[in-house]
Amino acid sequence: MQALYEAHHGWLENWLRRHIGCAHQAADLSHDTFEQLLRAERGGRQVPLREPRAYLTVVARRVLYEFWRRRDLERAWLEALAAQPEEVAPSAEDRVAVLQALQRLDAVLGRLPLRTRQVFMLNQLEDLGYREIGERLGMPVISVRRAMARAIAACCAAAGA
Amino acid sequence: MGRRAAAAPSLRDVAIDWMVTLHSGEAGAADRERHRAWLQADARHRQAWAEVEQGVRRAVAPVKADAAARRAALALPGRRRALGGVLALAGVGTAAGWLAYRHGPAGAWLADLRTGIGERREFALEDGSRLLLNAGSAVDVRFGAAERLVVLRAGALVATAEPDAARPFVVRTAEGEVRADAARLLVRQEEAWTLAGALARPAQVRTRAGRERRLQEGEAVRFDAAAVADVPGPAAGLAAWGCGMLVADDLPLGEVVAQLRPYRAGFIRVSRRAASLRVLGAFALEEPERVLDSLAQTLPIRLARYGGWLTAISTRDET
Repeated sequence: MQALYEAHHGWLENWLRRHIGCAHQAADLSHDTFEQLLRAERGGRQVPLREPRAYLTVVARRVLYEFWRRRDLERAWLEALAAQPEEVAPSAEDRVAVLQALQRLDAVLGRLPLRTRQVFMLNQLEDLGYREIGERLGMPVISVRRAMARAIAACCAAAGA
Repeated sequence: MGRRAAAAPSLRDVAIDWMVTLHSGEAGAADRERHRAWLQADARHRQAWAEVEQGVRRAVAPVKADAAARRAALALPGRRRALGGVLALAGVGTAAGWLAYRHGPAGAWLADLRTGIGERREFALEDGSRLLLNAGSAVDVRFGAAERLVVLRAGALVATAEPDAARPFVVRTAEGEVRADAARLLVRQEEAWTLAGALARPAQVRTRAGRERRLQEGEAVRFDAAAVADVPGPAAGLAAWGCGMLVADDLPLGEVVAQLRPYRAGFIRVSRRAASLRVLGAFALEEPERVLDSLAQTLPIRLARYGGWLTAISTRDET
């Protein structure tokens, strides 16, 4: 891992900078990437040696994606905040806590299909019943039930991990 | 998630099933009574139920407690499926897995070009064409044998497409696409429509519903999936951000603020009345705070700044 780092971290930082344009953040993200590799290695996974840069790029893309996803979450929250009829100005602490909550929910629902996420959120956040959700999303109630079961299972898996 | 029991569902599955039933919005007294009986029957039932309940509560409750977070969660697009595939490969970590990705679709290496807040960047594409991204923009590049496809996911771009009659240059947005063999194109993704301009040489607009419209050099239109509407004035004015300027020639304040947004970290809320005020002038995008201040000096508006991430603009006679 040491050798991998020494041989490629400059290259990786450059690669990241080309994608986000900010040298400071590229350095942070390159760090995150190597941390993930280290964790994968401890988990018993071998870094393939034949084309390490291709592998690095795959992991870096995930890190990059999570970085942008966090930004998108923050933006969505700020927009919702701005659209509220009453003037609210949450404290910096509120903001951190809310963003963490959003990130957590987003990560828990992870790679579930969009429909499944929507069903779960309409039920849990908006308190809509299955029949209404089915009408809104144009799907039969039996599919709504199945989506709920999948999303609840994802919550359990995340809590157990 | 426990052992692989082929036949009998695990206790967790049963508990999940109970939760699905109780949240249906139509669970009656009889359902609740049967649920209670199930809980009382066995301590392991209670354990399984507690785990499921806690799992859901931990994920949902903190978001539900905040009205804006609730709305943000509901408005969020899903995570990208395409990337889901890449993540799965990274997770498996086998040589075969990532090699398959490595030799995947041509141009995939160039994909996911993004710019941050206040940052404009020019990217060179593999055919020599160039993409200038406005601040806060995101683009995927998918060059194939039949076309040179650029997917604009957010923000705005100016594309300078190298001539290639065999492989048209296509910019796709949520509402349709703009196509040319060689041209300079401006494309901006708005919330519910796309703005497209031909800065040099003509181009062709095609909406998702199939409506076509030819753009002569200098023309601009906005379109949604079904309809195309003209945008008055030269297209070049819409691309002034390319040189760091915001040129307002009788633009509504709401539109001026929309163009400033990618240059500021926080959010700007504009009241409906303030949004319709007309603005004249040229402003430097790099200094969004100064732009706001100078707008406040020339227009009958009031600025209220909250902690650096929320700025509210209203007319002076609004309360």
